[in-house]
Amino acid sequence: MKKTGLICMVMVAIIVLSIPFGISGCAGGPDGEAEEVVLRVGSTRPFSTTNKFSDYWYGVLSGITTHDSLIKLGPDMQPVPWLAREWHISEDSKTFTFTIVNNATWHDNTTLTAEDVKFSIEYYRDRDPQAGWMNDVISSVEVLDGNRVRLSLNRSYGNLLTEFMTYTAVPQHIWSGVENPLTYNGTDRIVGSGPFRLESWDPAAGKFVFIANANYFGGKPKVDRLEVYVFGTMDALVMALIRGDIDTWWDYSGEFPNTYIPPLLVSGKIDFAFATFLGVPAALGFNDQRSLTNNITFRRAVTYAINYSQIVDLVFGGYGTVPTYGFSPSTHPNHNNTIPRLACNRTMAENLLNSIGVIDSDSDGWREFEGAKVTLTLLTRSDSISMLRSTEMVASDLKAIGLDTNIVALGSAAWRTRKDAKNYDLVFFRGTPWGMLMHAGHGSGYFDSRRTGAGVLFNLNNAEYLATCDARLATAIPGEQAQLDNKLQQLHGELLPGIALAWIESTYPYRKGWENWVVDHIYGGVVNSFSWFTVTRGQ
Amino acid sequence: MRLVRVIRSNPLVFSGVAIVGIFGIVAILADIMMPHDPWGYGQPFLAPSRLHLLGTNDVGQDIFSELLLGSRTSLLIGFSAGILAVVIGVFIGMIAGFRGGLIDNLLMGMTDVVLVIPALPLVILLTVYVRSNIWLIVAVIGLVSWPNTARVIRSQVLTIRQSGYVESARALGADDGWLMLRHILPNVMPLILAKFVLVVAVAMLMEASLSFLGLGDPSTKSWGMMLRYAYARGGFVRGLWWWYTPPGLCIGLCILGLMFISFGVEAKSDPRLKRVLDR
Amino acid sequence: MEEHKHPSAGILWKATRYLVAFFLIVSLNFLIPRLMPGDPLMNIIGEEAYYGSQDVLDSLRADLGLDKPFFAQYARYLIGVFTGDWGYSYLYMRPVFESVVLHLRWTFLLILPSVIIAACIGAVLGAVAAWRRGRRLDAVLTGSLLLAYSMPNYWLAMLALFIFSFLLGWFPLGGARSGDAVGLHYFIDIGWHMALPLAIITLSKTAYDFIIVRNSVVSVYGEDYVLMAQAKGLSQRAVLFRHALRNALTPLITVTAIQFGMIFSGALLVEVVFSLPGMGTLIYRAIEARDYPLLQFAFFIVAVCVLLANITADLLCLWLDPKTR
Repeated sequence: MKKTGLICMVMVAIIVLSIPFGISGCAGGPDGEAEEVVLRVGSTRPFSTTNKFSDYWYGVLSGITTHDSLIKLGPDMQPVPWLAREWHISEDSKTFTFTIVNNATWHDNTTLTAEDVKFSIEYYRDRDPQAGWMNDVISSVEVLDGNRVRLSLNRSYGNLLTEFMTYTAVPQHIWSGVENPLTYNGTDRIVGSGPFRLESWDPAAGKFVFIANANYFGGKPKVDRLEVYVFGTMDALVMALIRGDIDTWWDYSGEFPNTYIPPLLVSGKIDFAFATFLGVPAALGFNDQRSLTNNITFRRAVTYAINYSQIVDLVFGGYGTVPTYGFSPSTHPNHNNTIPRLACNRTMAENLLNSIGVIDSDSDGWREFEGAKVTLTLLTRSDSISMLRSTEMVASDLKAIGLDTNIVALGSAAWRTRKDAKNYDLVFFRGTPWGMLMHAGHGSGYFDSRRTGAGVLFNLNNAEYLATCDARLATAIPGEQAQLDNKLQQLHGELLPGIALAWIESTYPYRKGWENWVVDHIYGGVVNSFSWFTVTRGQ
Repeated sequence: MRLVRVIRSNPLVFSGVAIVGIFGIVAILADIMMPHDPWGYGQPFLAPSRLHLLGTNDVGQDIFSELLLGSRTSLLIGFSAGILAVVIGVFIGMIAGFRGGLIDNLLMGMTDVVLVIPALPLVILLTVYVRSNIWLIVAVIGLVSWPNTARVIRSQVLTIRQSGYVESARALGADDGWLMLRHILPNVMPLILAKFVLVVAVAMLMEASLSFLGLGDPSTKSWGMMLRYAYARGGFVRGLWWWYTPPGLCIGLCILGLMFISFGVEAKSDPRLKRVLDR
Repeated sequence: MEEHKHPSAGILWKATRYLVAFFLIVSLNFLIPRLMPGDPLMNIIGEEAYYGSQDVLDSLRADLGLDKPFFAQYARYLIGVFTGDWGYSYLYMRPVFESVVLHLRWTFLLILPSVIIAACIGAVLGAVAAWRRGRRLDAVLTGSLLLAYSMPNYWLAMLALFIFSFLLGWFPLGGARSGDAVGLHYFIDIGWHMALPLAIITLSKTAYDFIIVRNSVVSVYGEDYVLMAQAKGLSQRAVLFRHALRNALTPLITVTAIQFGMIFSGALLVEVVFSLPGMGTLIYRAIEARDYPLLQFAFFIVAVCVLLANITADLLCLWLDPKTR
């Protein structure tokens, strides 16, 4: 009995001792200003640190809150001035000159100068692994007369403006001494110049608090306090939205799952904004290293086999359209309207397969090629539920024309490794909004064989295509750009490196009462840098 | 026929066998019983009706048919992993218990290693490595679930060895393999059965957990994958109980049946050798 | 079971075995993550990044120590294990130890109380059910707890979140705290956040402990000394608590010790459903990000704790029940 008592006491002691484990010094002060406008935003992205260099997702979030880029992409897809109030591009697209606003300050009240901008560009170029491309392109950065910064490139690079929209200025006085930005843990790493400053990040609560920057060069944002809540799952986020714990949803490059719209509608508390998604939520790429999938006729047969409207209707809840062969959605500048829409035509698909000798020679229901049964390996991502559903449907469409499939669903890291090893026949991927704009635009960054990258296929080495990409990169003249953009899309349709399976309409839910959002295509729907200065809360 | 007697005499085992048996029959006859093709697409998010007993899912597949076919995958994964784990466990446990000495220590050391590495993270790690395919999931689950069985079998073998009759059989010239088969295996059979049934339960739960994390096999219908889709495609928030309840209940019921069997069989075996149930 | 051996020899063997196991685990922890496909660098540079110039990647690789030969990395890791230099997490970009500690406290808060509460409730209910064995109370208790144990606990967690947090609005929809409460309210806030996950984990552990206690109590009812005690005229309750339950203590302690060991692996699925930053989530994210140092350390600490728990259980049983010596 004595022993039992002792054990009980030990257990009680452990319970009591375990409670203080939850304590930490992080507790924000109470604030009770009557007129304060608080916007609460939910996200399901995995944030891990507040270092914008090492944490991809915090980097994206900081780009619309605490940090400023030189220019931004406006809702009409044209560059708009931001930290740079104007810019000038030389005829040959080799010299870019930015004029920096005069009244910008860092959150620690030091002035933001052209020197800071010069430093930032060089810092990204030399230290940030994400910005490796700058090394190949930017030869020198210099400050001209106080507030102008001039970039000299070693070759024409007309797409520099677009690429620069994702890089934000960082203060020289903080980072100049930091050898490796990825591992920098100083508390001043959060200092930026943006409309908000980061007040706190509590990983245990899954909550960021941003406070409006009263000294912002563009004026004080209308939102005084921005809270970003991180949820483990979309389910919990949607419940929080209906319950009123959060006001809206933020994500970059992800689509709001349309299957969640009905409960939001039913709740009667949610309004929606719409914008055509700039990216491609589900796309299909062909392996150029395997004889069958390198054959354009075979690729065309596959494109005829797929029931696109079924994917749009069932996977994306009908909020979308069947894409064209041009790959990039119609919101992209210089959309080519002459390219035909993808269509399902099984007879055509079967005829094409027969014409190249992919036939069911032993009448077992499956087609053979050169004596061996064709089993296509479909590489897809297990972490994207809509991609998984699309894969399932494409597999069943291919089975309908006698092509057997083997689905290989992998998490993103393993998917990348296998994709880079070209160990697949067909690969499912997605085009993110910025990804569609990179390189020569219109998704060319995903296909150009000379590029490598985390999400890209580098599966097209057609000379004409590569030359078109280079020409497009070299010019900053709108007329030439339009012509080359049209050609790129046309070549996508002819060479078929990959096809979009659906173009979608993105829905951005927000609580009723919030008004005057700016809906943009790229930074995250209603939650973006433009909205901070327009959004209001009515009653 | 001893087995039948055990089943009939113990209501717990009887109900367990009945539950698992029903699921087993459904799994075998799923093709005949399914009212629709569970892979066929149609009108999504239908409520239960006479045409679709449990409605349809996010892509218009008949949930009832999915459920029937899912029982096959889930039981297949469970039983295959169970067999694999028990075969490995019995083999290692027998050898260790019988040989003793260095081999015993080596094998038990190995058992300790596998036992202390947390199963679910290890399985996640391995599935990330091997990709989603039910047979690989089976192999992985089987390979991490054997240590308990090995330990129990080993200690049983030791006990039986000490009871003397094995010694006398050996003295009469019986070789080790024969001894194991003839004398030890029948004695530890109830225990093996109890352990097997538990591994089956663990494997089924693990499949469901892996699927929930998105590591399931997308080209197979299983209860775990059904739950995953129900969860990730808004079934819960929309309150579509006919979508998210059945797979969870089926997993639970099936495991309950298995637990009953394990429970009953273990109670029947030598009570002095009461073993800790291990999940 | 090894009664014929000299006890000290048994302990020596056991110690050697634990040592060998320890070394193997340490090595496996190093090996397994490195066998996985996927490059940790890719996670750092993000989805849109194109790999660009090789030297930037190479210098990053060098920073992370990934450029060194396999065995050099292994040697560094081994030295680290014994000197406490755990390396740097690529995912959290801070020393591994700090990242683990941050998550560990929430898992402590989740698992520790539930293991203890479950052991207490499980012991009492198990004893009661055994005492009333074969009667209706026993059937109801055993049936319902077995059922609770059989349900996938992440599914129960989702149901609980849906019903109690969403439909009824009693609890928050995620996180471990609100982040702005102070003083006494801070503790109440944490309790409010942890209530549902705690309940779910406690339920399944209670069922587990219940089964063990009930079985071992039932098994001793037939034993001589219990019969003797009954014959001596001790009341049923006295027999139950003084003799029968005491006998059930050994397996219960073993199990509880092992459950403590599991604190470090966390309760991944429940953590995911309730958006809790526990060890399960940490390990899962480290796997996704191929964060080798973090994975090594996390698996190491889990393994060591389970080993320690096993040893503790062995010693406790020895102390409680001299018969097994």
